[in-house]
Amino acid sequence: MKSLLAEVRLARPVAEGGFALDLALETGGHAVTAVLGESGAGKTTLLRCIAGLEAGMQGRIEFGGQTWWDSGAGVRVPCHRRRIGYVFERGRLFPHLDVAGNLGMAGRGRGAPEPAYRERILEGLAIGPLLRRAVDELSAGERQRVAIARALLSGAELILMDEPISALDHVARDSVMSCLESMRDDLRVPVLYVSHSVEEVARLADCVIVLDRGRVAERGSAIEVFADPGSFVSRSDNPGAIVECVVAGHDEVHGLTRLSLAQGGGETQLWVEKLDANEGQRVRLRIHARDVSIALRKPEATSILNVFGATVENIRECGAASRLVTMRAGGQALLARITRRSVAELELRPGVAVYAQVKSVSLNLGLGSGAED
Amino acid sequence: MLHRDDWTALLLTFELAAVTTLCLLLVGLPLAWKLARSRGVRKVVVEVLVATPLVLPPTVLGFYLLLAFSPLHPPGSWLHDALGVSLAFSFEGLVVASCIYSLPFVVQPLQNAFEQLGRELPEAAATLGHGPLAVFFRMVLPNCRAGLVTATCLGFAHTVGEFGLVLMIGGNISGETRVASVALYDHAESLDLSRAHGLALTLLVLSVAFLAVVYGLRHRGRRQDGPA
Repeated sequence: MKSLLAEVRLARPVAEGGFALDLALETGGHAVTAVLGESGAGKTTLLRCIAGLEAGMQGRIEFGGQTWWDSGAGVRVPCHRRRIGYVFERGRLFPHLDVAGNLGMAGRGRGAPEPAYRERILEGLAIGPLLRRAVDELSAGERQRVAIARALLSGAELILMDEPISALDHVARDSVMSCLESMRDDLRVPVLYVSHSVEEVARLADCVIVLDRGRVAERGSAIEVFADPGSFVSRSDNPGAIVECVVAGHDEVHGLTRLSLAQGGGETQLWVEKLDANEGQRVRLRIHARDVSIALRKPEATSILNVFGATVENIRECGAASRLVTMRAGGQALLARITRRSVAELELRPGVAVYAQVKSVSLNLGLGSGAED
Repeated sequence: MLHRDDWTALLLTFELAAVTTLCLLLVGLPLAWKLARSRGVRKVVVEVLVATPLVLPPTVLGFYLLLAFSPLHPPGSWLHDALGVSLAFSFEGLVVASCIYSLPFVVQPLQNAFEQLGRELPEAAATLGHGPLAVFFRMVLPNCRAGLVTATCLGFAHTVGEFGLVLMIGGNISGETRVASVALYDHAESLDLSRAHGLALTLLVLSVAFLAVVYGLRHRGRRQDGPA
């Protein structure tokens, strides 16, 4: 997978909004790199610079060893020669064409996609039934699915997604998100995914870059960033670690699946509702800190299935009455949000051995398996 | 019904209007696109120049063009020396003058349509790998059909209706520069009312029919664009 190198500097005078962007980033070979930050952090401007849609700044952008832009050397490859696909927040479908026509426009720019690949994308985004529909007859969610397909079918080597599901209602957002998740393995190209939503990023990203007022505030793998109690994502309303597991077996009788949490074997295991997954398959979960509680002794006769040994790593403030406790279980980080009072009563401090009880987990199916190639 | 000379005048009028409209589209499309996408003082200057024929009495424009076309001094003399062409009292001269005169009627509707389209869709097309020309012809023009139809019709109709300007620089040469409006004026002046009636009625009927077609086209275009 080709990697992107971007250095962008921009200073807009106060009269024009007073905005500064000064950052350098590299995507490595990750499949999905999320750019996270509050509105006004410079996320969209960054994407537009990479796409070649923004003028009047300084910097350098290289993709796969090819220089797209170098303000110092006067190099500027125009947008249409950059082999990018851009998914805009509001679709931007062409109103004079139907859905098939819009997808056709993707093929006319840089050559038609392979039929098999096209089929996979159309299936993954459930676009088959929409092909003959006019653009203004589509729901907002359908529009975004078409917009994503259009970008993927354009022969792009880098996909830029700018808040692709932010403008959707809750239901549509979830359906588009599920499509994106299920298609991750079919994406042959790196994706730069801009969002202000921690939840979206948790579900999709391999790698996270947090922007704050035009600068890179944090970067790292999604697992690292979500496990860091001091990170931007942990300051959100609903912090929680991302955990990678391997399917260890199924309990057909009770409709459950057993996941092994430990990296490189070990005892730590997690029961979840039955998954449609084979033994040995890797899955990715999000365990919200508010769903994790801590006990000093192993609780007995409890309805909670998921209890396992863990070691406290650190404890951080999280509001006036709460604390965010980082633990390590089976080599993976886990966050728990408990009251300050509990921390005091249990005398929790780094190094203490505890039992973590997990009430529920959010599953991100289909993730993980394609992440490392 | 119509006299042979009046047919000639009518055909000449439509030929002039067709050639003028074609030239205006060739000039007006890029000009309107450029204007729609630029800002600043230069844009204002060009907009003022383009709009001037709207407010200028046609005879004023005709007077200055007559001077400019004169083979006795520049710039008309340059053209005469270089190509042996004299624009005054010729069909070509009428085309040049009509283009200037009808320019705002073509450029303004196009510019409005382009400005309304905005930058978002052209940007989206560029990200799909379409170069500027491809974006313009595959995406911009099809989405600005209504503006294109309006510009074409206004340019054509306005040229058909020209009178003062033609009289100033074209004179009244049958088969060369005598257009229908000038011929009608002649008939009325010479009290040949039956020929005046014939020509006037023909022009009236053709104008109404033309507008009917245009409005019909626009209506259908809107319906295709979706339920508004």
